[in-house]
Amino acid sequence: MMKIWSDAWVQIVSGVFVALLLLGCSGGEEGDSGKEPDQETTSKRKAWDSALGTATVSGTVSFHGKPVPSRPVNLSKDAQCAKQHPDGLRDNSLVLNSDNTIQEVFVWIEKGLEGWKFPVPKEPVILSQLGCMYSPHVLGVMAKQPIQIRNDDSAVHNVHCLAKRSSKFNISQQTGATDTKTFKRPEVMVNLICDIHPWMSAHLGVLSHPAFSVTNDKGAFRITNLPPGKYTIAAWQDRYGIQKKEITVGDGESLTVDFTYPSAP
Amino acid sequence: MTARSHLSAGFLALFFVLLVIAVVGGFGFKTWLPPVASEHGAVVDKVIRYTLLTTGLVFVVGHLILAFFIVKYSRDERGTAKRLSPGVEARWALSVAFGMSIIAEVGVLVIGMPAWAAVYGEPSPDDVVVEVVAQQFGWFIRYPGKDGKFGACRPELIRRGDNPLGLDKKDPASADDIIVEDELRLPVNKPARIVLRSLDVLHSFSVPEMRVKQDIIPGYTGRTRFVPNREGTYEIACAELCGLGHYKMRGLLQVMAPQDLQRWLSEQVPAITYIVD
Repeated sequence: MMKIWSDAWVQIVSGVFVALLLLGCSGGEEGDSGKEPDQETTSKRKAWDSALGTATVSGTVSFHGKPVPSRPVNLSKDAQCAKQHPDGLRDNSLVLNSDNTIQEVFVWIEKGLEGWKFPVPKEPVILSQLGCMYSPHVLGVMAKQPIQIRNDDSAVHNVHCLAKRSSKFNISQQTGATDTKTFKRPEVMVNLICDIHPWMSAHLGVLSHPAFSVTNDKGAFRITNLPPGKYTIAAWQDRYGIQKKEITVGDGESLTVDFTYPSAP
Repeated sequence: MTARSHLSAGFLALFFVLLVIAVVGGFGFKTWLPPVASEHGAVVDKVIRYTLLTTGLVFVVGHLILAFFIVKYSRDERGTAKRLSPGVEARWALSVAFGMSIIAEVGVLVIGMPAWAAVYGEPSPDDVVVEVVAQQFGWFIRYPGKDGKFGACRPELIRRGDNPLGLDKKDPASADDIIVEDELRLPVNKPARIVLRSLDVLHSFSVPEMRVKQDIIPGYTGRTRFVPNREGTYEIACAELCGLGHYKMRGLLQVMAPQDLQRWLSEQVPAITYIVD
């Protein structure tokens, strides 16, 4: 028995077994996308020439009709959170402005920029946890661009990333904690949640280009520096999902595109 | 007396001191348990007391016999004591084990069966049925509304913001379902049947005053039943370590007069009001 265990082949077999095990584990972490080649990264792309970016697309996202009321949030489980919202809190999946335009709609160029390779900004995008809410609730980031996640709250949070095309993570953050993460592959949208406070949810549009915008307190978005061409422009709203439109912009043109939710049946 | 017999006497004295502490502490345990607030709770306490008493007695008697033999044969350095045959040894060991099993198991069964029947027996049509759905890290409480029927829930419809249980708006039974978070309200002196589900991992629904503790297994609909017989507010705790925020998975059970519960229910907004199509 002892002789068998000292044999070199046993070491080789166990080495292969461990290697297979590790391979299996790492494959699982990356998700299914780890196996399929990424069309955008494998295709030959030209380096982005900023002189070509002359066109602008802007517009407004509005709500038509009477919205379903937002569900009230039960803050009683965390006194720190309840203290910061004395008037209570409601589900923020639809934020309407007084003129029925919608805030926090992610608008981006879905198709038309595949041929370009854009430089990835080094400065991080900041996602804060404040008042037991994610701030902002919807944001855009480029793949491989750092995103700094901060806990600016007096409560403890955990940041649970439910990405499907990049690595998932689940980190606990004490008050004042900061973690920097990146997403390897484009994905619209990546959902971040806090398991301790179930009403907390952030949505990240991860793209391979910087042609995206999030609607402001007037329901307006603006995508600049587009080269002339044909595009599919898309809008994502937390409750009502994605709408798409085909557009063509000329050199130096400013085009207006509006979206209305909910989409016609 | 030799130094060795001094040591034996010392150990014996220590044993009796510990015994006195254990018995006094053990029988004073009534104050250790929260006051009972359910009908079957007194039986559960009886089972706990019986188990403590019988296992305590077996422990004490067993150790006294052990001490007796240690003291008796400690001076027999040459090992001249007569040894029993293996057959006799086996008979002794088996009869003691059998006797202990009878005392512990049968006793617990005889005392505990009425409580078991009350908690897990056939549901009665008079039961107040409430669904408790556990999720990391909180409790969703669902009342069936006036129709007495729960609407269908589908996992694909679950949305954290507006539809946390995936309630199917198209099912007519969903129309009057009421969903609240972390606050379970039950009428006093009426049997409550709690339907238990989990949306993610293992949890356990525990209300110590009701003497109720029931594991919740994802994918399986469990149930428990009790009759709260004292009005008041009690803590619902998750009794199964379920993750990072387990310590925050705390709910409240309010036992109230039936008319107060009816009034409160009539003030609630049906869950489908908030569900987006």
